[in-house]
Amino acid sequence: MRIMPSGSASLKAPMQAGADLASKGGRALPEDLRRKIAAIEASGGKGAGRCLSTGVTALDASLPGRGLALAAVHEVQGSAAAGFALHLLASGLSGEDCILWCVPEGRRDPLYGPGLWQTGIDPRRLVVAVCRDRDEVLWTVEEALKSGSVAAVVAQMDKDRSRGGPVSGKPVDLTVSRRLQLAAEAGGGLGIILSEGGGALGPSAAATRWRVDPAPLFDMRDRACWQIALLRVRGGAVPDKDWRVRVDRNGQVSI
Amino acid sequence: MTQPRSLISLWLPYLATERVERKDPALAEAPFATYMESRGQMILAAVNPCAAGAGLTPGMSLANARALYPDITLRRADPAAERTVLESLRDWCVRYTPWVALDGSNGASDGLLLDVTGCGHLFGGDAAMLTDIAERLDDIGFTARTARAETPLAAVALARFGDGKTIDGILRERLAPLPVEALGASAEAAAGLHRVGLHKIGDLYALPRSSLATRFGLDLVTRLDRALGDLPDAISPKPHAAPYRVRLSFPEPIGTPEDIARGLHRLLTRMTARLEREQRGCRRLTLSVYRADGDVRSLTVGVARAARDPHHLARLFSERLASLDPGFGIDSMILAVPVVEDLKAEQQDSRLNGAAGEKGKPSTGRERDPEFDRLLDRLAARLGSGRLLRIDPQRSHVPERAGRFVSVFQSIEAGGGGPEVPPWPADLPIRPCFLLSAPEPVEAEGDRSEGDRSEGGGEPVRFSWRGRWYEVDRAMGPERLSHEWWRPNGEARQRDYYRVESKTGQRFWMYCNPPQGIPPQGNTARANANTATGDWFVHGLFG
Repeated sequence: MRIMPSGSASLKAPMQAGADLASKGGRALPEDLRRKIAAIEASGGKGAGRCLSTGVTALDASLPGRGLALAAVHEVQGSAAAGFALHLLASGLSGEDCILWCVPEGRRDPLYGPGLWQTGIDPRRLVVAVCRDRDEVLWTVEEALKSGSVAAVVAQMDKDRSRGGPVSGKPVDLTVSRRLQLAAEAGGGLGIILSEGGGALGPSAAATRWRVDPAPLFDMRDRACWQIALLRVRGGAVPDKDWRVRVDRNGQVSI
Repeated sequence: MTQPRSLISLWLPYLATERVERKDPALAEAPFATYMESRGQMILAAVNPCAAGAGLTPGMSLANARALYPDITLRRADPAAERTVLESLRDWCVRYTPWVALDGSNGASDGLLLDVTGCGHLFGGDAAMLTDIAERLDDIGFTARTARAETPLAAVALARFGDGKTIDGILRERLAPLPVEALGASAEAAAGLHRVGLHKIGDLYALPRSSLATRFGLDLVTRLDRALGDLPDAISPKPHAAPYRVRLSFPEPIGTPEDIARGLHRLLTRMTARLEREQRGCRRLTLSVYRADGDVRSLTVGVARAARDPHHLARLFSERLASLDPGFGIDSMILAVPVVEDLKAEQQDSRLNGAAGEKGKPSTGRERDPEFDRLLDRLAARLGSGRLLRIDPQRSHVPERAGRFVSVFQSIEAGGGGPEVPPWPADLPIRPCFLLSAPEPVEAEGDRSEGDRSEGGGEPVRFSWRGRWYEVDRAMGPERLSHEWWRPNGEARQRDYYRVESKTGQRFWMYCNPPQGIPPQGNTARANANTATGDWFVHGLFG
């Protein structure tokens, strides 16, 4: 696992109140108080204070820990959310970490092994859980995160991929994301919630919220190209720009 | 005075053919036989009554049988499967008596021997029991000939050579009219007896034993004595395996979830203590609760690898205990383990490994983290084991077959290739990360009259998928994939795959069925007109 030690500036508030405080007057907090809060939080979970590289330097730079925080839940919206999540898993995790991928029943676009393999994920370490309904997806994600035995849990919340269409799934609300966040803190794994339809704009306890949409390829042989926006960062400033990230055929990432 | 023994012999003369006919009842109507290879020749192994009526007998060469009856249906004999059937019938017969043995007196096992001493009255007497057995076997598709006698050998002889009518009477008199072969001695001994005019067992009674033994072998005499009960003869039933079952009865019915959980925990502790003693672990557990109103409810959980940790097993149940309706209360609980496996003590040390893994050392490649297995067990307890899937890397170029899903619990035994072997070739053209469960036909519109696009394919200009129209911006392809012609049920058409990008940046993996015989690059306007308006399918989505 490529893990970066988080900088002292890392601030991950476990309480929503803390997050509010941070966003309201984050810069006003004295440095030592910040450090104290970070230390209190880091003592809680196993993976707290550690980060995963997103594989894109510019993205890493705008995150508080210079990477995607472990022991936390991240939300990814937009119709290319699943592809971006796979990219995050491929670039951040080592070849031996187990991944649990939760989907609701009835989705007609299951993961495809050869494609995963080309992305850089060994499909043999990935387990797909087909859940009957939304509650079961959330239960599975929570249980898996809590157990700490999986490196990453990804949940596709929407019943179906509606490419840019109306939101088909109910967005994950504050209570639910709070539960998942606590579970992630207990287990130390990475939780990724995908809402391809669009997702919530309301409050959430997730550490980050992204919006990823597909962008036209530079070269038809490239693997992917995304328009990425960081909508929310807990304990950090939201950058006011988007990135266009290109993954070429060899997996090289550029902006 | 001891009760005289009572033995029942069951002979299943058509076991081999009836085993097949049960699955395919149409075979029973016409001559049907199984065959096997013997000394470089194909011979009939078993025939059904219809074939026997046509004059076919086991041991006849296949060529002769075909000459006699050209329309005969033939299947290869499967002795292992026949034995399995017989063994399951043996287990079934335990409903009559615990003493049931396979009868292998004539080389092939096609019979069962039941020691029913003292059991007959439970079924309304020995005669009623015989009828009952024969009827029940007939119901499940087996013809059985039955006989009862005081000794095993006599029962076997009467079942195979007797008329099956009388079940009582003096044993000597009942055996007397049977041919000497009924004793089951060697073929040479029987032939020798016939040569000197001794055709029936009764003919042997008067002869001195010593001269019989010198001329025809001691075996014949021993068999005669065993049949007549002068020598003791025991049958060897299947050893009785103590089932993995523990029971807890309550003086007062219980009903609260806490009490049920506590009772379960006590059962689990007792069960796991026994498993530990025998170095075994369970793969499946069934909890049955007997309710005060006479109803029985049960819960079954399974685990991915053999386990005997009571806490882990209790957690598996705890997800579903709530669904167990206690009704007016539970009188007793039974915990049974139908499937056990060897589990040596060292495998239990996995916790230490897990702890080490948490400290930073990742678990090694193929050996999955036992903690992860435990998680899968818990998830399977709620979701069902068929809902936890893993991708089975298949080396197939047909896209659907290459990324098949199998249950996680299957794959543990299967294993597959080593971790170093990449499951798919490295030079595979780019594949989508999401493959639709079935190719979805799209409505494609293509204006082919103005000529082909630079990529040289026949991709459409716009298409409609799931109710939305997409303008095609660019496309890459085609990549032609043929069907697997060696598979009987494969789709017989080739596919030309394109990677299609819409104007808004969405990328699809689409294919069309090219007209047969036209190479992918040598496109003519007419061929493209066919494909563009014809069968286009979206098969995958790039992330």
